Amino acid sequence: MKKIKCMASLLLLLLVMLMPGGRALAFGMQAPAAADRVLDKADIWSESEEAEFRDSIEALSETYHTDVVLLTVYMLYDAALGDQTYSSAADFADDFYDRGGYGYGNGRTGLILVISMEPGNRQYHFSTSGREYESYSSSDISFVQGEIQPLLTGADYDGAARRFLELVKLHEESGHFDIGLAKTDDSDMLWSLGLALLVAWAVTSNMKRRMNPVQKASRARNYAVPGSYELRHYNEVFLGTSVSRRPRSQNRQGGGHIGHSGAGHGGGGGRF
Amino acid sequence: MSDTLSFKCPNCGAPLTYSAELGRFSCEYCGSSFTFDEVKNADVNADTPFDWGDYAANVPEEHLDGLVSYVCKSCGAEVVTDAVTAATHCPYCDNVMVIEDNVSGLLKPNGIIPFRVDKKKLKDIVKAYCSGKRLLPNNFLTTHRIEEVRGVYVPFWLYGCRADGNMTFDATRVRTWADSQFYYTETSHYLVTCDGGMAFSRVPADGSRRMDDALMDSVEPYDLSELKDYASGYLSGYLADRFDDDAESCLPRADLRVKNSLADAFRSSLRGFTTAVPVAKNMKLTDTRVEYVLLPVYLITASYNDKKYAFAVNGQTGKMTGNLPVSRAKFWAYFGGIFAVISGLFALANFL
Repeated sequence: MKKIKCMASLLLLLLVMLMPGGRALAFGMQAPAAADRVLDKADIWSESEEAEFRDSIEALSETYHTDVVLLTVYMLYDAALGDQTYSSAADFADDFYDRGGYGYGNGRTGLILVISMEPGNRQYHFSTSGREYESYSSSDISFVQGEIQPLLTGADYDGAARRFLELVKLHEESGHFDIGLAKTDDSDMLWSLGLALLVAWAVTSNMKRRMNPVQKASRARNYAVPGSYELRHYNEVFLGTSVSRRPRSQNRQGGGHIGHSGAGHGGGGGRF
Repeated sequence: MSDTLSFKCPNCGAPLTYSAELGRFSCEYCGSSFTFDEVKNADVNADTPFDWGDYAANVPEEHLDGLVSYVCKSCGAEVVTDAVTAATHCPYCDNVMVIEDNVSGLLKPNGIIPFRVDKKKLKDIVKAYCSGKRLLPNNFLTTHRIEEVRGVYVPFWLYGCRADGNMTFDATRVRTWADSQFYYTETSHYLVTCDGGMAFSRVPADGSRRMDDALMDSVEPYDLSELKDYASGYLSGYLADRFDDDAESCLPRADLRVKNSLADAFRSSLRGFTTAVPVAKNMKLTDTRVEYVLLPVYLITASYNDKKYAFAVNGQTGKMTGNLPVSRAKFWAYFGGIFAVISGLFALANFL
């Protein structure tokens, strides 16, 4: 009898897990409320647009059990994160996500898109966490960047948020971006072809050079009297030092990083 | 008509002419005159080594163009040859003719390296040289392409000198580091001066205008420690030329090689610099010595597609050099093949 009860319980648990949102319920998690996941502090979206985004986020959360946050700010500062202004949108996004308590389950799965409208230093960054950190490849991140950045540069801020949510959904459905992969493959293929051409030319040119070894001698190294080299005077005059620097990231950022809370994040972004 | 043996002036080594009026041999170059016994006892052919200074002082101008006729000692035929020929074969009896005028007296070489590589081994040497040359046309070796093989003693100048000078470099040391936001590059600039010298011994340069300088440079090196005193017997069976490019006109070739090598030594003395660009150089050669030697070279002429190809084999070491014809079809086949393989590997890597 105990065995039957046990089997029934396991079957029930399995069914619940297979239902939409069931996994969260099965592990005692609630879908987070969507109200505080669209934070337009820079006031670049209309109220109707914000409502539209909330609906989309709620649908994503229920269907795919991932947390999505959209945040716009005037500058990379938030009182909740301490008395500091961030220079990196990536660090700001990571900390805002981690300290805001966002994310599904123990892995705190989810994404946050931060758009900073600081004059002269407009940046955006989307950060991935938990399961999303694992599932977004570098080509996926590059693809999202390639889709979002032109919209932000063209001041189509609601379009950028809308496209971001579409891409999150697309990624949840297929696990990767088909179009993005195709584009990346094309680019990789061009590089590969270019490199193959270069190698083929280098190898065959070397083979051709071996066919023409006749050249005038320009050195008499073999005829130097052994031990006769004498360096009578050697002088180094220090003239000065120049230091140049270049940003570690300019238009694009990407790759994995660790937030101040210690959680791992992925994602990418740039300036617009 | 010149003879293949003549008397030389004991003072300057120039050819002597007999004056029937005076009953003595006289020298047109230094004005001396000698009796037959004096000339015979001097035996200049055996004892006078080549001295460039002596030669340049006593024979300021020579006319080496045109043809000269000699009498073959074997069959008595009159043989016409270049003015610079030192040894040749009689076209009538194939006897070896050593043109003593061009290898004796003032022109007697300081030394000679005898042929050590047998002519019979040339076939194997050519085969080994062509093996592994993947762009060589298939029928280059299979068809009878080689037109002529000649063993020639080529006149070479050997220069010894001491090179001294100084060189200035604009050098940099570069240090890089990064923090969370920037990559930093610190470039420290220095002006580095080196002053020193180096001695060189027996830097060769061929003294024959007939020989391609690049071909003769490429056939190096010779083991010059094996130089022997010149004796005309070594020329037997081979061709030989005297120099027609004198020691002064060939010196710039050795001068360039010596100065480049000293510059290399200065550059290698620089330590710990990322870049070093020479900005000033001042070098001079002193204590310059010249030796005149004959070095053994097999010259091979081949033709392919109506084009002549010249090869040289070092007669001492067997080292072969020479530009080979390139098959266009093979070149593009290899290019396409390598391109296809690498592209395929990349495609496979992308697919996986």
